[in-house]
Amino acid sequence: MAGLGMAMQQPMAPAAAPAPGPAAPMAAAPQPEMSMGTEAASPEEQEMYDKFVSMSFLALYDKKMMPKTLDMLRAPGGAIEDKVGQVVAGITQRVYDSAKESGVELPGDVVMNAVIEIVEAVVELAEKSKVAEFDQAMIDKSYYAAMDLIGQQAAAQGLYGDDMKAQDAAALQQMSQSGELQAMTGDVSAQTDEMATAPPPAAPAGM
Amino acid sequence: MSGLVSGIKKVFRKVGDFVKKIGPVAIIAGVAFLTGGFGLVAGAGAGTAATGAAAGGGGLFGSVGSWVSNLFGGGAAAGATGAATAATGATAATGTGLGGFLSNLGSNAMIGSAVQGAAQGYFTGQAQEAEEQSRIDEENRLKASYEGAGEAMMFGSSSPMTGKTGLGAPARNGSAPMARGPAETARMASSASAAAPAAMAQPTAPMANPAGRPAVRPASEQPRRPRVRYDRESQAIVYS
Repeated sequence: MAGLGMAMQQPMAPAAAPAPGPAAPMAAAPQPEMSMGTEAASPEEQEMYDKFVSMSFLALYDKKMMPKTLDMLRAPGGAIEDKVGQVVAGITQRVYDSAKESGVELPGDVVMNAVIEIVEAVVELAEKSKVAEFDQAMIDKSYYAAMDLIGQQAAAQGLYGDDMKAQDAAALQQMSQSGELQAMTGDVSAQTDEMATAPPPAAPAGM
Repeated sequence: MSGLVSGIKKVFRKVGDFVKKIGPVAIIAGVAFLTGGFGLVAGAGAGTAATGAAAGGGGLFGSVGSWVSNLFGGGAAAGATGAATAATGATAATGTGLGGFLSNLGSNAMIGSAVQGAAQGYFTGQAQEAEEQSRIDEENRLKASYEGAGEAMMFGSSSPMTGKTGLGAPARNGSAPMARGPAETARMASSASAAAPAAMAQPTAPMANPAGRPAVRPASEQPRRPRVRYDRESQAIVYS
């Protein structure tokens, strides 16, 4: 399965796409495909990513942990997207701290990509548990909520200060102006144009 | 933790195979949001969601203003409402952790109003003190529960179950782990299977590879995250 760049080339998953059953055959994972402006993660980065995501999965799917996670997702009040964000942020923080204690300083880009996959995992868990059904907007908002909390945690720990934000913002602006971002999203613009004219999705509970 | 933006360019092979995915534009938006560069990227810089949508070439998000509004849950109406002023955004955000973001956004004069409004539509919904307290409580509860899982999650530490160092990553479906030999792959799979729930423990020894390259297992034998389903009768999550 490909990472971010691959996801950028893929059409967004339809909101009502059925999840594969337990016995669904597992297709061989495609190698990452590059689109314009993207680059393959280095082996070292991929290794860190693998560890980060795998450990997050171990935590998420742990038999003792899962009921607590589900309790958290099912807790009354609040939007499910925020609850997903809290679960993901909690896991991310824990694994990040664990890595740091072991002398592994995880780069932000690795963490960011790992968060994407962890959010998707928690969303799937929530759906399988009949906690909620997620449409595309809800999945995306769960990601924002997770990133927001993780960003706050990082800022509080001095890991992502204003100077870094400024640098990243400048880099982002440069990528936008040079057309790099557009190139990476491929034909997404056309899809989003269609979505822009479509009726807005129903507001999720709690919003 | 620098380099968030560079992550947009990086292509990672995923470990899991999830059906529902975060949208690509949303990923860029999320990172741009986090870095405080959302407005810079949005580029529309003016007016309402409709204006932003009409701006077209104004920027990546300028052409999809109303969609970005939807993305943040506010819908077109919130986009228009939030077209107000930067100060509004800063005010609305006061007192909530999530809203701190919006404060930053609000102080950025270059932010497109459509985007700001969209963001406001999302974040003002989180501005209730009670919800914030609930979030903190849940976080603390989650954090406390993680204490038990502690050692098994340690990066590079000795696993209490395997005595091996590091849990590593289960090989993803059909792909060879990078820079790992068969012995390493087998060790990691073994370690993962010991630590994970029974349903997660599906790995088998990798097939021999005379070339000494990382072994590729048949897809049916790949270690992977567990499948879970909801059992209606017992009302419980069941591993399968």
